[in-house]
Parts: sequence; C-alpha cells; structure tokens
Amino acid sequence: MNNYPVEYQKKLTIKKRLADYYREQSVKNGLVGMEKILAYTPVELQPRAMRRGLVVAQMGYGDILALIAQHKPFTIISGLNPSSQLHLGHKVLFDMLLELQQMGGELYIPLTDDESYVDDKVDKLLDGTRNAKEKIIPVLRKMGFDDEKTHYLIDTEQVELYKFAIELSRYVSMAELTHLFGAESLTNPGQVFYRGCVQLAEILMPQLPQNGGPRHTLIPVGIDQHPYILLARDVAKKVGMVPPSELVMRFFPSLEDPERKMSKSSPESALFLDDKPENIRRKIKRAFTGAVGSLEEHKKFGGVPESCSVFMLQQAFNPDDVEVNNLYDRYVNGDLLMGELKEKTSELIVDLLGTI
Amino acid sequence: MKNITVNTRQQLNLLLSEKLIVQKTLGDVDKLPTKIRVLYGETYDKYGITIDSLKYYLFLEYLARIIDNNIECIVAEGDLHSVINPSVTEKNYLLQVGKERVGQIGRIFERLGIVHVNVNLMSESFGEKMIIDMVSKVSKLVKESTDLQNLLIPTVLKNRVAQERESGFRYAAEAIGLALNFDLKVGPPREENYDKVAQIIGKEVAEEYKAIYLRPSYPFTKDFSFYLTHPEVEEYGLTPYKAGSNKLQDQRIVIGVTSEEMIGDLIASAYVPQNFLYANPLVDLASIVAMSEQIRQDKIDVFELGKRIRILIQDRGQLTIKILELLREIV
Repeated sequence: MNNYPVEYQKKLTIKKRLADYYREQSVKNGLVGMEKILAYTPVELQPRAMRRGLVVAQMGYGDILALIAQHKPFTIISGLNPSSQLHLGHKVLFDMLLELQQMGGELYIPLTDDESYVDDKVDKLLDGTRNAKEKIIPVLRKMGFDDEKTHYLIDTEQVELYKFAIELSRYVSMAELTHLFGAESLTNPGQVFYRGCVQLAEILMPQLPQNGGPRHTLIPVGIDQHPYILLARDVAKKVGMVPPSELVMRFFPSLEDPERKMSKSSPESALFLDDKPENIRRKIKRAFTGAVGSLEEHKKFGGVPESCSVFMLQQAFNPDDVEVNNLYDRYVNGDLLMGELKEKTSELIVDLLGTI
Repeated sequence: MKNITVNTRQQLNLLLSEKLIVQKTLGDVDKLPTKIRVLYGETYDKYGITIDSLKYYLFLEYLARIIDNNIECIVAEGDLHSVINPSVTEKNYLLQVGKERVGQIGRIFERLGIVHVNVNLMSESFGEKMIIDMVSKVSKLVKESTDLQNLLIPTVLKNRVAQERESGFRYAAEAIGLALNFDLKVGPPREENYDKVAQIIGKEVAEEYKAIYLRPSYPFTKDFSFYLTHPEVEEYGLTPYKAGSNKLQDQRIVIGVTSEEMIGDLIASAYVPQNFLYANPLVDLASIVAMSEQIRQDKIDVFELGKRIRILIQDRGQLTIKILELLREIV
C-alpha cells in the first residue's frame, strides 16, 4: 500500500472505515448480517436497496420472507419526521417501501409532528402538522404507493395513538429509556413520552385487535434507530404481540463527505426532491468521488467506488443492475472517468426527480 | 506405523477439500496409517433407508478406494440406540427393522459394487470385549467429569438433559466408546458435539481421534424462506439416517418408499440458492450419482468427481434420470 499515491490510500482508508463501521454495527445488539438473506432470497424478491448492499443488517426478516413466500400480507411501518425537507436519502427508503408493499406489505407511515416539536426542530407544534399535510404527504402520494394499502398518520391527530401510548407507558422504565437512548436524548418530558411511549405505539398500533392484529410487522430503519426496535420487541412480547422485524439501512452519504449523512442542515451536501435540474447538476459536479489523484494515476490504479458519493447515487437509483456492475468494474479498473460518471449520474437524478 | 503414500494423500486431500462433499474434519485426517478401520454409525426409524445414508455408504467405499485395500469400513446399525429413548414406541418392531435393514444395506452394497464396507448391528459389536472395555472406560470418565458432561449437553434435547445426566450420558458414552475403537469416524456435522468429547477422552485411552464430517443433508423444499426460518436445519441439516428427522420424511427421498413420480417432483420443484455452498439437497444427489459412477467404473478421480457434481447440480433433468436409474438398481 505504501507505493500507492496518497490520494489512493486516502480513498482506500475511507472505504475501509465505512466497511468496518457497517460490519461492526450489523452484528451488534442482536442484529444479523444480510449474507444468508441474500443467499436464499430469489433476486426478484430482493428490493434494489437490498441487493445493492444498502441494507446492512436485519432482525427477524426471515419471518417476513416466510409470509412473502406464502403470498400472505404483512405490515410495514416507516415513520417520517415532517420537519425534514425530503431528499434522496428518503427516496431510497421510499423506493424500498414501494417494493416491499408490492410483495404484500400494508404500509403505515406515521408523520411524527410531535417529535419535530419536542426535539425543537420546528417553532410551533402546528408547523410540523402543516408540513406533514402540505409538503410531505403530497410528495409521498407521488411515490407510487397503493392508496388502499397506505396509511398516512399524523401523530397529533391520532387520539387512539396517544391512548395506546399511555397504556404502553407501564411497560417501560425510565432506567431502560436512559440506557437505550442516553440522557442527552431525554431532556424534556415530551421527549421522554415520545421516545418511551408514542414511538412504541406507532410501531405496535397496527397489531391491536381492532386493526387486525397481532400480526407480523417490518420496520426499515437507519442504524441509529435500532434502540427503538429493541424496545418495541421487548414490549411486544410483554403485551402479547409479535416482536417486529427490522431491516437496517446504511446512512445515505452526503455529497461532500461519504462518511457523513445526507442532511438538510448542509444544503450543498444533499439533493432535495424539489431541487431544480441546474442545482442537481451543480451539486453533483462538486461532489466527492473515489477518484485517485491525477488522471494518469486514476487510470493506472483505478478508483475506489465505495468511497464515492456519486457512485452511491448510481447504486441507489439506477434501475439497471448490469449497467451498475459495468460502471463499478470500469471504476475500479480506472476506465471510468469522473466527468462521465457525474454526467451520467446528473441525468439519472434529473430524470428521476422530474417524475416526482 | 507407516503413513499412507504421497499420491494417496494428494487424492485424499483433494477429497477432504471438496466442499460439496466434506464439510470439515477433526484431527489430522491426512495422516492415516496404511491399515485403517473406519466407522460410520447410524440409527434409524420406521420410515426406511434415506438416500442420505446412501451418500455415506458410497463415501466410505470411495474413501477406501482412494486409500488402498488395507482399509476396513464398517456401517454400524445402532439397533439398541434406535430404541434407547423412552419416548420410542414399537421397540420390538424397530429391533426387527434393524435386522432387516442390515440385509437391505448388504444388498445395496452388492449392487453398487461397494466391496470395502461391511454392515453390522451395533448390538453385536457391543458383545466384543475390546468395545465393552472401551465403552466402560468412557462411561467411567464421563460419569466422573462434570466438564465432559457439560460438553455433551448440546447432544441432547433440553428437556432430556436431567435424564441423560442421571444415566451418565449413556447414549453418548457408548457412541464415543465404539468410535474410539476405530482409526477414523465418518458422520454428519452435528456429531462434532460427541467428537469434541471423544477427542479429549481419546488422548487418554486411545490414539488421536479423527473424524470426517460430510456436508449436511437437506430436505427438499419449494419455499425459499424455509432455511431462513429453520436456522438449525440450515446449519446442521437433518439427521441423515433418520428419515423422520424433524418430521420431514415427505420432503426427502426414502429408498424404496418415495415414488419415482414424487422423486421427480421433489427434484424439479426444489428451491435452491445460486451459491452451491448453501443448503441445497441437489448437491447430495449429484454427489451420490457421481461417486457411484466412478465406483462402478473403477475410475477414482476426485478432480473429475467435483466437476461431475457441479454439472449434475445444474441439470435437474439429467440428475433425475440418473438418480432414478440408481434407485431402480438397488430397490
């Protein structure tokens, strides 16, 4: 490795750090890696994000696959904080939710306007509610979900949700909450009630008898949300419900730094669903790649696609598996130059967002 | 003691590294003496002889032909061990089945050209003084050692641990005692739990304990999620010689019992993962066909064996024809 250019070593180091991070996270706290799921599941039943390696771990997903194999229904729950401006990181999740829904999932999307408020992400409680209604739900409706099998639930408008949250409050102790989330995430009573009870109720409510439960549920989450699922599995057992299954997704990388999350707080690092084509092209043009130093060095040593925020866009959104594999091979062989990759990717994303 | 020849060792190493047949080994299996005795022990139930047992019989013959003529392989039919569990009903019937089974297996050997392997009832072996002495030594060591007993716990169901402790893990002690009279044991991977203890005891009472574990035996299933929801079957497979293992007798091929039509359907409709190294019942069938072909042609070539297995796995039509031809010969 010492004979390689500095830039190449740097990109390899990023690749290694990311791989180590996800390898370590994917077996923590009861999670299991995806190797066997990918080995046994027919390719046509693997959502794109899964077969492209964007899903890094699971817990109990075999139970969901058993239902899919038998053409039986199951429930998917995926909450969304409506303080967020929707970006491509969300779109990866929506695409997977759509594919899972097409395999038999009934989709519940809790819009957590209460969370937005207790976490100080909006000025007024009503701002979150309004965002959910006016900005988020209209976009979600364009994602192709089956209206009859999709439930958009704004937390503060769900009386039943809060009643159920109160019922569940007896099954969770403060010590447990502090252990799972850390005191820094529980700084006001609203956060305690939301994290300790409301989010649990969002996860378990489809399992209430009046909603057709108990039933198998699947929750796709980011790695940072795993504690919620652990708590929900624990409480589900206590109240005679089915412990929810979980799919853990990678963080979607910032355009500027593949080791950071795409986030609205850094607008140049994110591609928003309402970005104009010229903004998309500008941001992708400036994005961080896995290219290695000079053109000559890049051709000689090849690039590192695993450290490339632009290639990640191809991985997540290019529907053509063969083309993505081909781009990968050309990238590592040094045959794919970043100008071509960025141009192709810009067109891919402009077309994609043009349809929303 | 003189070791086996270099050429033999090369073929043996090739066979031991063929992941579609051998899962793993215990001890220095490639350092075998020129004259060796090999054991494969099996119990049984009322459903008949599985095709998975046939794989073991053929493997023993294949191994014998690689090593040379100074090898004696024994298939020990565990008649008493098949009825030792208090939950087993029809004990007398099963003991009778054992005697008939020895005859059936003998006929299978004749028809497939298996000449280096003998079959006998384990109860007869337990009349031999050497084996009685070894079993007695092992039983004593197990009864005296809580550590050894703890190592044997994974070999029994959780609800039977107390009962087994009380009996001094009799079943395991006898299985280990028998195996320690041989130079090498062949068996399914789950038996590693016994063999860890056999290895410890072997250091005190016999030579180094050696074992070869064949790839697990898997049921045929149309459901791709089966192995994800049955992780234990995925890891260890079914008990190869007990057709009713996990009550999946209808998803296996039982010699002379499963109809040709059913065999065709099981093979045609089996869901198998793309990577052969994961659970795949076709791999066993392909191994059986490939080993039996080379044995009958007396052309033992491990490299060609691996190639033939890989071709057969990918051609279910051909595999079905070959398996049916083989079964017609032995039924």
